[in-house]
Amino acid sequence: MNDFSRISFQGKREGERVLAVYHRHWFDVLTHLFLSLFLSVLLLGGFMLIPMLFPGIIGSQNAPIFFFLENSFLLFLWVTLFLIWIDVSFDVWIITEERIVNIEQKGLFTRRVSELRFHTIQDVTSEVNGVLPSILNYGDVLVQTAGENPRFIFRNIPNPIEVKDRIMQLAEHVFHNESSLK
Amino acid sequence: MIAIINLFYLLLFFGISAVGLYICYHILRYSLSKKSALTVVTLFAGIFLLFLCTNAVLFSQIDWGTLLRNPAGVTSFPVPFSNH
Repeated sequence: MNDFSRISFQGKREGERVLAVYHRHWFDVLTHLFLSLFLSVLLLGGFMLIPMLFPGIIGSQNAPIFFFLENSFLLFLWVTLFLIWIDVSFDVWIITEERIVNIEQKGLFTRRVSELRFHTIQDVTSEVNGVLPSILNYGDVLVQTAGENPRFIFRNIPNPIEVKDRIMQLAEHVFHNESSLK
Repeated sequence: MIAIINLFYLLLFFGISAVGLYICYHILRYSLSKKSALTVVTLFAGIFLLFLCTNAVLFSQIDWGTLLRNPAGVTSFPVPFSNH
């Protein structure tokens, strides 16, 4: 059982208990990073092969500019890798006792925080599309609400069916509590 | 010409430093777990600073005067597997 008591997020209320935190599945994060990782491998391989194919480059007046370009590419890739990682892995869905909070990160400068209360939930659907998502068990959970944001989407999270069941349980719990109060 | 190259490099250097700083700030500010944020920032900043310092040192080692006087030295790439 995970301990979410130390989890803090913007807009967390006093005494609000976090029940679950969902991030994108690791494979989804990896697919977004794939191009940068592939370029890094290609670049490192290229920089190892170039001095072997062109031995004259080491020790010539071209050497400093060659190493400078090599280092600049690596620096650029390192920063790009983290920019993509932030964009993808800072998307988070938090389930508390009272609500679901969705924090969506777009680039470094755009951050969208939305929330829905359990009593507005009308319908919850889980979707697993494709071979790899089926094998690795990840997909979307779509929450239909009566609120301003009619559809709330948990994107590419692990165990979508389990998450759907959990949301439904919590929604039903809140519904029964409200009915008994009336 | 060398002054323009140096100025351009200085702009790039401070630009990439600002991006690096903002990435660190972003991770520390918005991570749900402060402990894992510190680990990631240490990893990022450590390697970023290593690359950045090496980059500045490598840039300072380039003899722009010679390269600009003799551009053929840069453009003529050595022939692979030459018979000499």
